[in-house]
Amino acid sequence: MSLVNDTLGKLKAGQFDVLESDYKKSGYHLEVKLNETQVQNFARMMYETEFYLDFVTAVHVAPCFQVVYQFAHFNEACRINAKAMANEAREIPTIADVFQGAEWHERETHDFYGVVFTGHPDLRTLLLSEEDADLKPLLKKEDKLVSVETITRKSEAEAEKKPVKKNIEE
Amino acid sequence: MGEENKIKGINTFTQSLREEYECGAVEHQGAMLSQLLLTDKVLKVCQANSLWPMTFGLACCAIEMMATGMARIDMARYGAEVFRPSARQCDLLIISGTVNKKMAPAVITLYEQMPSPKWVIAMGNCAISGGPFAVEENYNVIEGVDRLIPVDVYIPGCPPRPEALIEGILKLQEKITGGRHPWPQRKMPANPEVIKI
Repeated sequence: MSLVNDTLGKLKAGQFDVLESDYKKSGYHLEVKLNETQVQNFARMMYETEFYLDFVTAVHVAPCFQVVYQFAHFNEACRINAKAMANEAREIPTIADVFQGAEWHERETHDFYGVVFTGHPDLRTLLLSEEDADLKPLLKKEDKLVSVETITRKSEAEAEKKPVKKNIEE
Repeated sequence: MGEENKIKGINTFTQSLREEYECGAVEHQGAMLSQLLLTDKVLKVCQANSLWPMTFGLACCAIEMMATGMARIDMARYGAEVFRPSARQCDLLIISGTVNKKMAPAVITLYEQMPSPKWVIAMGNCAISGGPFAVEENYNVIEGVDRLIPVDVYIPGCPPRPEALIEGILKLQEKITGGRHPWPQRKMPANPEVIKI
């Protein structure tokens, strides 16, 4: 678990809002909350510590979009889930200049949600046909839209307050 | 459309020949007529028994299509096993799977590249009507390939079993020649007692 701890230390030193997460429950070791200005620095740090980008996607929630980045490492098991809120203009800085592979992930996210990645070299449609550029098929309907808080995984302290059913393992 | 016009042309031509023959016109035209009709029939039987499908798999139905081509099911029994890698050498297009909006132009291009006479089989529910994708939220699946190109035979199933594809090809042979099994088939032994154990 040394890589997880190392990275946790580095992220904390870099002033990132980072939490350790139970891998068995969540599927990732570290959870990072980013704000718009931190995205690029975070990506650069991931690049320097030899993480690779697994995917970029978005979640349509009440105030705006939550953009999700997931990173992992080839040498040791360490998955990092980073979430950042796009601003009201649906914009968030691109990380395609750091991880070139992010270019298509961001194009796909732009296709389906309409998140604008500022500084992206080419935001044409990737998976949708050109005439559907304004379709944004994965947006939720008004009545199905929920706030960020509802879909955020609660920390262990908060979760303990509520009676939880016993796991089969126990 | 070109194909239909051609057939219409041949039909009107043969009809005018027949009329001339019946009202006692030049005798050699009668010979021509019977020859032409015979040629037409022979051609159709040949076409029906040597359908050349395109190597064009779109989704999971293509797996069944491959199985149909292999030794166990063996569509070669009906002369339709020569999968060609080029549209220009094919006369049968089996739409085996989901056609989405981005694939649609390619499907149309391939159809247009095929020389006439040509036939299309829509294999599986996706190709027939969109199948499981025909829902309100669907945004990129063409709900039925007959919205793009004319279809001769529809084979339902998700995916259809290889036997169903064989049946589809037999139906197409029927459509081409006007009768089931245009080429004589091997029959079961006349005396079933022989194989009874």
